[in-house]
Amino acid sequence: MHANKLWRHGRSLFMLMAVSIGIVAAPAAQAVPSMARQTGYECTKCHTVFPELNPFGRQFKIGAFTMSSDKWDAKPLAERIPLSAALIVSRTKTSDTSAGGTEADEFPRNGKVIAQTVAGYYGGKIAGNFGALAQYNYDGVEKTWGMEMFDARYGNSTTLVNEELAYGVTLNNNPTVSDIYSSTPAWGFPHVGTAAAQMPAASLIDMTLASKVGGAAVYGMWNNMVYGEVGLYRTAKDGAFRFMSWGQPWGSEELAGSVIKGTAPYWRLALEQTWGSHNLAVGTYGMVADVWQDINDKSMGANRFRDIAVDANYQYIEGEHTASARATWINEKQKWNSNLVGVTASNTSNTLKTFRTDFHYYYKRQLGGGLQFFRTTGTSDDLRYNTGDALMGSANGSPNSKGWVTELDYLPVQNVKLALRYTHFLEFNGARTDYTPGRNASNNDNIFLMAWLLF
Amino acid sequence: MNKLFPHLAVTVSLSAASMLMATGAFAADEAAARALARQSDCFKCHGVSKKIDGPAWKEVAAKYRGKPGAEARLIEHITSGEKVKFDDGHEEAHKVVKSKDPNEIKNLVDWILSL
Repeated sequence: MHANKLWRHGRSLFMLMAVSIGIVAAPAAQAVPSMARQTGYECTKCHTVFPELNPFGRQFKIGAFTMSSDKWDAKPLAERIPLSAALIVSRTKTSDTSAGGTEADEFPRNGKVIAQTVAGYYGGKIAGNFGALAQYNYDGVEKTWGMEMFDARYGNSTTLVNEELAYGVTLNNNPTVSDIYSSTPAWGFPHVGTAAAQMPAASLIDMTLASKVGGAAVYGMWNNMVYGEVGLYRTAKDGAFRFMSWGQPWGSEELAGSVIKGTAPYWRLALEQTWGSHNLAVGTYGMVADVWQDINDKSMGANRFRDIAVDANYQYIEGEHTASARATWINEKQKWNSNLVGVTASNTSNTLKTFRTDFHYYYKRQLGGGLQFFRTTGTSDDLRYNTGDALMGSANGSPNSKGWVTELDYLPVQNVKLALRYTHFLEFNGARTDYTPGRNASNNDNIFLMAWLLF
Repeated sequence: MNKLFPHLAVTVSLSAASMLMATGAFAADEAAARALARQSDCFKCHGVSKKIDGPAWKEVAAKYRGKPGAEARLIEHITSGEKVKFDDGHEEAHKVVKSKDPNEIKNLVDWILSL
């Protein structure tokens, strides 16, 4: 890396730190999120390092975020509204923005320090056994406001076979956002995306439907060992779930293919065990959905997506050390409507397989970081992937991508995370070199600086 | 011998009663104990047979069962807000059970000791 590049990144990091320290030091900022205020606990009671939940945090979520301290319960109603806010200031720098003839506008906000997210949260108890975690935010990349996350739930417990069964109902806007483990897409690493648009092809359950659907699910955790959830999702384009997709540009061509036909079932099953300081959960999740090819022209029909995934989540918490490892593998079977074969897809059916695994370590929950390997493989399909787009196309019609992500984190206080992340692509859309004419996978490498503040 | 038998019977009965009280085996109303535990969020940290943030209650019962003063010690533990230490080294005040009724609290402790 050239000295002037190092200087620019160093200057950006300094600016991010200055912004974050300034906000932390501001007297108006009570740097304690609403759930910590409600329970009377520190952030680390529920999180290893936010947003990853530890075993207690999972119980808190299963209980519908309603646990509260006596001190909190004694406050007047107006002081018990659990509001929080977040600010993410970031800078994304892509390695090469012109190789292969890509245009500058394909790399929005590249190299600029931006307020990537400005968010307001309702996070905590509503009343009785009802609680919610909802995030409405400004997206500084797209420059739009919208409902980023919505999970309102009811929680209770009973006795089943001499053991506790904690159960509940959730109403949410993203399959897996209701999950309690960080090995599922909604809560997986990296928790905050970069501003870079160049990402591998993603299966339906891998955040593709985030903020575009609404669903209800019942869940239960028996004996702190067996966790299960079943639910049904519908499009949030219209109807009662519309508010869950506020901010989505539904009239745009971009979302014409993001509307579920009818209802889509979702399931989740996980087994968890704790040995001393070690905790391990292994599970499966998935969904089946028919998605309109173009909501504006239903005569084109719908395509069927069947996602089946397995995952594992390991945590070690002992003294000043916390370590965690996660893995997920998603196998998607795509069955294309016969009317579309030869029009938008070359094959009648395709597969898309996603694998991600990461390891993180933190000392005193202050200093640490992680390493992730990701890999996407799938059926070559010229009409699907060889689009001619210099950045997101594929000369050989393949979705295959793989690479590494490494991140260093520093948390000066529990609710502030400063991060430096490097993403390196070994392969992108089917090739290491010339995945589109003149553009290599490594041209998409990027450096991401972030200051993430919760208050 | 006739005089000895009543004394022996009383002694055996008292011994049996004290042993049962020590284990809490006959005294606890499980449904009431679980209800108070749920109301007090005990199960967020303790499973009956699984550790969560705090030890499983079966472990607690095994540790204290048959020991003199076990019941009083556990009542103190869940009513005083005393400091407890966690795996990650931090200390915090143990949550206080959400009842002022000594009988309800005793019932909860007796049920835990009976596990």
